[in-house]
Amino acid sequence: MSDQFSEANTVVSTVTPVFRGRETLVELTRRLLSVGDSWAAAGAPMRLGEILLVDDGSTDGSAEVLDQLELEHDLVRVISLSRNYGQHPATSAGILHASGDWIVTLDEDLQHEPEDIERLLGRAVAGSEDVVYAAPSGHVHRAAYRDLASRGYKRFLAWATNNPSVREFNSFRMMRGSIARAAAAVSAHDTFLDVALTWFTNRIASVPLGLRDSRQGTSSYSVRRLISHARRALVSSQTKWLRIGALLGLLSLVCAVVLMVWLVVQRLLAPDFVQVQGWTSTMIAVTFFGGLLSCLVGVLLEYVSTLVLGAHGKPTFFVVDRRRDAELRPYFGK
Amino acid sequence: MLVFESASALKHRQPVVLFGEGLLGAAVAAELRLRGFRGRRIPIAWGADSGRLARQLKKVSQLDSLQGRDHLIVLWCAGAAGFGSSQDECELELADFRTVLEWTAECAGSAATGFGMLSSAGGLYEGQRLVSSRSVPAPRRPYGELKLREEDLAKQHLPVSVATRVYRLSTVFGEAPRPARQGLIAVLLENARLGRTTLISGELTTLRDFVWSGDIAQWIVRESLAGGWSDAAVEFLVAGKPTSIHEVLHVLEPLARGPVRVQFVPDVSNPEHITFSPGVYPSGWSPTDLATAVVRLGCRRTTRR
Repeated sequence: MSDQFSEANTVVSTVTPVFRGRETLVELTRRLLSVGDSWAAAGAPMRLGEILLVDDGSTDGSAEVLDQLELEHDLVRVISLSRNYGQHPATSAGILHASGDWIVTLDEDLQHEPEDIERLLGRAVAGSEDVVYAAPSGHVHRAAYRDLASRGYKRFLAWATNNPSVREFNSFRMMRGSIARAAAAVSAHDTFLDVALTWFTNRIASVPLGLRDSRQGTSSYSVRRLISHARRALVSSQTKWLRIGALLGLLSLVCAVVLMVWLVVQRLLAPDFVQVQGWTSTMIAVTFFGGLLSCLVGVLLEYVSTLVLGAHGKPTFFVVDRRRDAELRPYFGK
Repeated sequence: MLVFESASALKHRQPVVLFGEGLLGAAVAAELRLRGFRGRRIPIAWGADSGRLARQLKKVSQLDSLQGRDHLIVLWCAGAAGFGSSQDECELELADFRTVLEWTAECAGSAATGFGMLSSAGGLYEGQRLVSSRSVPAPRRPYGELKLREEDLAKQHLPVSVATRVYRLSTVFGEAPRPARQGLIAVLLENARLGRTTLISGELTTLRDFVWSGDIAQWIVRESLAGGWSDAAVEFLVAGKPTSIHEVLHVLEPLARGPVRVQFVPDVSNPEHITFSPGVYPSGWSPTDLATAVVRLGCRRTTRR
C-alpha cells in the first residue's frame, strides 16, 4: 500500500490551547500519536510532524502534565504563555510556532476526537479548501437549551458581521498552514482568529461530525465572555458600524440643509407663524453647526475605518499554492 | 582577525583569537568587549595564497598576548561564502579554513585550547522541516557542502586535546558592519528607510528560523569563557520557531522608517521551508523573540544615526 502514495512530504501540526486540561491531556496526546502512527503504518502521504500544546496560564496543574508529556514524546512541544491570554491568542501563538503544511486546532477536553482529523483533511484536499471546520451533527451540549443558544448566537453574529462563514466557526478546524500562519501573524489581542482567516481565503467548508461536550464541570464561557466574544467578532469583522456612523453624519447634514431652507422660506412667507424673536436665526445656527459637526465626524469615521482596516492587518492580497493537494487526493480517494 | 585579551590583570591569561568581523564576528567582538576584553586588529589576507596566510598566522603566534597563556580560545566566525556562492568561491574559503585549523593545532601546545566554529544549519538541512538531532544533513548546494566539509576537517585536523565546538546556526539577523553581508531583516529596514525595494528569493509563505546575532554571540562567548568545551559537540543555535516572510514583514512594518517594499524573485530551490524541531537546541538556550530583537535592532540603528 505504501507504494501507491507519494512519500510523506505533507506535514500536519496539531495545536491545542490548554487552560484546564489536567484530566484529559494524556489521553488527548495518546490519541493524537495514535493517529500519526496509523498514517505511518498505512503509508499515507502525510505525517504528524508535531503536537503543540499551548499552556495559556493554566491553574489546575496542567503545566506539570505538559512538562511530562514533552519529556516522554519527541513530537510534543509545549509553549508556555506568560499569563492567561484567552483561547484565540493562545491558538494564534500555537499556530505561529507550527511548521506544518496543514494545521489542525482542537480543544483540550476531548470534545473533538483526534480520529476525525483525517476526515477534515480529506475534505480540505478534495475541494482544495483552505479551512475546514467541524460542524456539530447532533447535540453538542447536554442541555438542549445550550445547543439552541449556541446556534442562535452564531446566527446573530453572522447577521451583525455580514459574514455567513461565522456560522461555521468552530475551534476544531483544519487550516492550510500558510493561511493559518498569515492570519495568526496579523491577529491582535482583540482579533477573532476565524474572522482573520476570512481575510485570506473564502475557500471554507465544514464536515458534519459528532461533537460532544463531555466535560463534568461548567463551561468556561460565561455570559460575560460570550458578549466579549461577540464584541471581538464584530470589531474584527469589518468597519460597517463606523461606516453607518459616517452615513448618519452625512444624512444629518442633508437634513440640516433641508431644515434651514424650510426655516428661511417659512420666515419669509409666514413671518408671524413663530412669535418668538430670534427663533428662526437660532434654529438655523444650531441646525447648521449641528449638521456640519455630524458631517465632519462622519468624514473622520471614514478615515478611522481605513486606519482600522490597516491596523487589523487585512491584506491587500495574499498568495497561496494549492498544487500539492493533488498528492494527497489518491489516499483519500481509496 | 582580532586578538582579545582580558583587561583585568587578575584574570588568568585566556586570549581569544577571533577570525571574521562580519555579522557574527562583530557581535562576538562586541560581547567580548562588554566582558572587559580588549581587542587588537591584525590584518590578514584571505582568499589569496594559502602560504601567505600561513606565514601571517605564524607571526601572530609570536604576539605577547599568546605567550604564557593558561587557555587559548580560537573562534572561526569568518567565511565569505554564502548560500549563492559558487564551488570555486567555496573552495577558497575551505583552503583558508584548513590553514587556520593547522595553525590552531600548532598553537595548541601545552595550554588548553578550544576551537569554536560557526556552521550553517540552513545549508546543511536545506529543504528539511522539523529538523531534530536525528536528522541527517543533506546539503543541496556548494555552500552546504562547504559547511559539512569544514565540520569534518575540524574533527580530522585538530588533535584530541583541542576541545572543538560546532555551532549550527539558522537564519541569523542583526547588524553587520559594512561592507560585510547584511542579513535579510537589516536589508529590509535599511531599504525601507531609503525608499528602495528589497528583492527576496523565495515566497511570502516561505518558512525560516530567524535567530538574533546578539543571542548567538552571548552564548558562544559565555560558553567558551566558562571552559564549557570539555568535549567535541555540535550545538544548534536556532530559534526553534518557524517564521514566514509574511510574518517578518508584518513585524517590520510598524518599526521601519518607511514603507517596506518587496519583490519576490522566483528561485526554484529557495521557497522550501527550513524549520527546527523542539529540543534540538541546547539546554539553557533562550533566544530572543523576533519582534523584540527587531525592536532592539531598530533602536540601535536609530541611535547610531
